[in-house]
Amino acid sequence: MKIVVIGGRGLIGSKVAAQLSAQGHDVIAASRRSGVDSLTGEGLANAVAGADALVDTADSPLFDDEPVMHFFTTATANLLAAEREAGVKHHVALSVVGAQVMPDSGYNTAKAAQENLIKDSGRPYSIVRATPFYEFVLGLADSATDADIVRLPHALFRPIAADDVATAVARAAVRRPINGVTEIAGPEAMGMDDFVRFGLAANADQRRVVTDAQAPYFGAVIDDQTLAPDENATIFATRYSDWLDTHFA
Amino acid sequence: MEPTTYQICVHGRLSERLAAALEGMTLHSGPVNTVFTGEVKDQSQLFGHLDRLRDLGLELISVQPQPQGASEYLAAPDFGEGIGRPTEIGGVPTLSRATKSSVSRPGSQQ
Repeated sequence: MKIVVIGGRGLIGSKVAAQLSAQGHDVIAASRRSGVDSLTGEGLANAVAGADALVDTADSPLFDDEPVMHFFTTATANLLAAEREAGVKHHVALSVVGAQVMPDSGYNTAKAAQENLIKDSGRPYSIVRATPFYEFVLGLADSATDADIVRLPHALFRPIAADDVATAVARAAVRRPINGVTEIAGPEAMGMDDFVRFGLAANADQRRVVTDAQAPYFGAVIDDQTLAPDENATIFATRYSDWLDTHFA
Repeated sequence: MEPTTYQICVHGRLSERLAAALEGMTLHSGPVNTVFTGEVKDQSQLFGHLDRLRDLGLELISVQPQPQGASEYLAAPDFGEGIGRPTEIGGVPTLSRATKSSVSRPGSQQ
């Protein structure tokens, strides 16, 4: 199969491209460096010509609500238009668990808008919603730090390794479109506060984590249900402690 | 070149999901701009960082090597608002004001 990976040099996209290449597929890892800009549409028509599937793992680099919404809706509209033009028969997108249930979060609202554009496009698609990645642990700590104190809620979630996310996305890309959503999650439920506590400890970081139920996650107050995957979620195997051993040892 | 501490400033408030985007660099998001700070071992790595930022579609504001032993600058990144962005002066953090001239011209210190 010929598969185009948008965001092909990013955390997930590079892993997806590597996995699909190793399986013998003809992979185009598209990025601005390869002349493809999904926000402007530049280079898209060439990249998708003759492709069987397009995988979109690109993430908004900016944090504020407006640029995030602009990024996901504009890029997705451009991708879908190019795919329609070229007759690409499968649009695979990476989204987030909780996309449709966190209206206070500008990021999740934008992901929900992205999902809706895909669903309403009439194009064959598969959406993979993942829980937050282990790889975000230090960034999450930094965003919640004030004077060496990290404030986070104890909200339970099931974080997942980026490698496992890539496996799920690569798998979706070579299967038939499901015209629906698959949710994926890691093997263990843990509090967001403990997630960061363990991560900082493994990294010999002295910051103290204080549990605060009102501390926001991406601008929204969350509880044990907010980031819970649905009951049919695919549970992946990489455990957090093993991931920490590999990455911070 | 010798391994040198650099500050790389880009326009916009970056998502914390990009904290690990540039290996070995720490991200500080300001109200208007975002600064990556960290040691760069050679020119190849420096251009690698810049390529990555371009791939992300970010607007590059400045790339500044830091004077040797200037660790105090690391705690107070220069968000670079002074460079051609007069309309955004309202968002300037005052932290690094006093040291700004020396930070932006490290060559003059050596």
